[in-house]
Amino acid sequence: MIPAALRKSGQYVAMAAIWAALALFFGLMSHNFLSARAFLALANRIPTLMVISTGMTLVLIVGGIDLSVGSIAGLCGALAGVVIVDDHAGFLTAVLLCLALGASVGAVNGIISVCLGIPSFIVTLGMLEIARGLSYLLTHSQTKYIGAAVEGLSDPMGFLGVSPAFLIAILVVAAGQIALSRTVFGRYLVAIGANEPAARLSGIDPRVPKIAVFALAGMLAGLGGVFLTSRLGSSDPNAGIGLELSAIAAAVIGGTSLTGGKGSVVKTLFGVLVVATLEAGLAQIGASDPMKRVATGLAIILAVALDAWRQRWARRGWV
Amino acid sequence: MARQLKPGDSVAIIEGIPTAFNGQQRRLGFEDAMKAAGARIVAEQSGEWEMDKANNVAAAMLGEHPDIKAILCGNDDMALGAVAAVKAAGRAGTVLIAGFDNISAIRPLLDSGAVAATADQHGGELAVFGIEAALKILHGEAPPADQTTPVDVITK
Repeated sequence: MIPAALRKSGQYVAMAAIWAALALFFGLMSHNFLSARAFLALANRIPTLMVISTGMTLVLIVGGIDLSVGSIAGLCGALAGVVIVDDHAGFLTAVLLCLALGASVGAVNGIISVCLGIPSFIVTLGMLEIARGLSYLLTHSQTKYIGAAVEGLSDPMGFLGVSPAFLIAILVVAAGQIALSRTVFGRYLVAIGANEPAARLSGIDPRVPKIAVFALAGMLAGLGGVFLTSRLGSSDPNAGIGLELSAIAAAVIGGTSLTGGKGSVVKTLFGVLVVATLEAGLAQIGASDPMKRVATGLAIILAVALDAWRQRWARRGWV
Repeated sequence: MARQLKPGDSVAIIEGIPTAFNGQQRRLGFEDAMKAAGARIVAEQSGEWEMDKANNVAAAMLGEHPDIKAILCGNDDMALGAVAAVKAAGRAGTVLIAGFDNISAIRPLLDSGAVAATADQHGGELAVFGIEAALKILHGEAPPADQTTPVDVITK
């Protein structure tokens, strides 16, 4: 048998190897993919997906799912555009409003799902439509150019080459992992997600942690919306369509279970890298739109299949 | 815009959803204009009409073909995404960007020169002609012949 600590680091090595293989593949298929510039561009592109996937991982661990995060990101990005351009609000005010709005929408998801006992899949599917509709209403379906007022957050910083948004996203991932594995709240999430009746019998009230985790996912979606708006320099009411699927793909590639009780925020980060590298790499090699879709779908299935095989081998003590 | 390009310059096209008829027509128009200018189309991908998708595609195109001199986008939202990509690549001011639709958000960028041109196809008139035609058909009159609305190139 292989000691647990070694097996755990083996998982990280396996995931890093998958990512490296993917990057190498695109490097061979194109001219300039394997360059410091391309990797920095990737790093500055992913903060939105990083924070949204962190929230998604926690929701999946507690046994839920949140399909509304892409729409919430769009709604919050739209709000940022409206308050900065039309109401001349400061950037910080706009960010705080976006976080508050995201957290509120997320809390509504959680409260409806928990108090009425409706599966979160249904509630957040409804919220996906509601939040997108609100985003169109808020902006009269118009794109707004914001410019320098928001761009600073996503501009690379001097010699570092990465943006403040990327550093904030790293902090969010670290905080998410610590909350998950080192706090009572995190252990509650795992316990509830693994076996809710058992958690209740052992004295945990699942309602508060569940609502809290949906509010958190909403708030992180709001932050993701701010990052997105800042990177594009414009608020687009259509922004974030399909982000929920990328976030779910990232979490699942990172080994998070869709049935709850199992997952890791740090491993989701590997999933984010795989999803983002795939997206950037397919564009870099000039793949056609149909090919991009087919390749993305295949990669998600393949990554999860690899994880399933790895677990089977681990049970037999091979890896 | 084509006048600002030299024969042999590399250009890229970001089209809308590939199955949309208007998207295909705009792409073909871009291709014809670039052929006439003698420019070389080195990359052509879909941004699905969306700002962020176009941003990703534009960033990749600039990474793979650093010599790109112009990016032609099927709508203004995608042009905004391309502007952000050009800026992120540190290429601001060296790549011409064109959009389509003349939305209000593109105005400040036409002013600053970050976007070289967009096309206004007079959506208001399109709607009026459409409604007039529909009313005529409802009143039992013969459907009117196809009408043409002007398309203006806006550079300022």
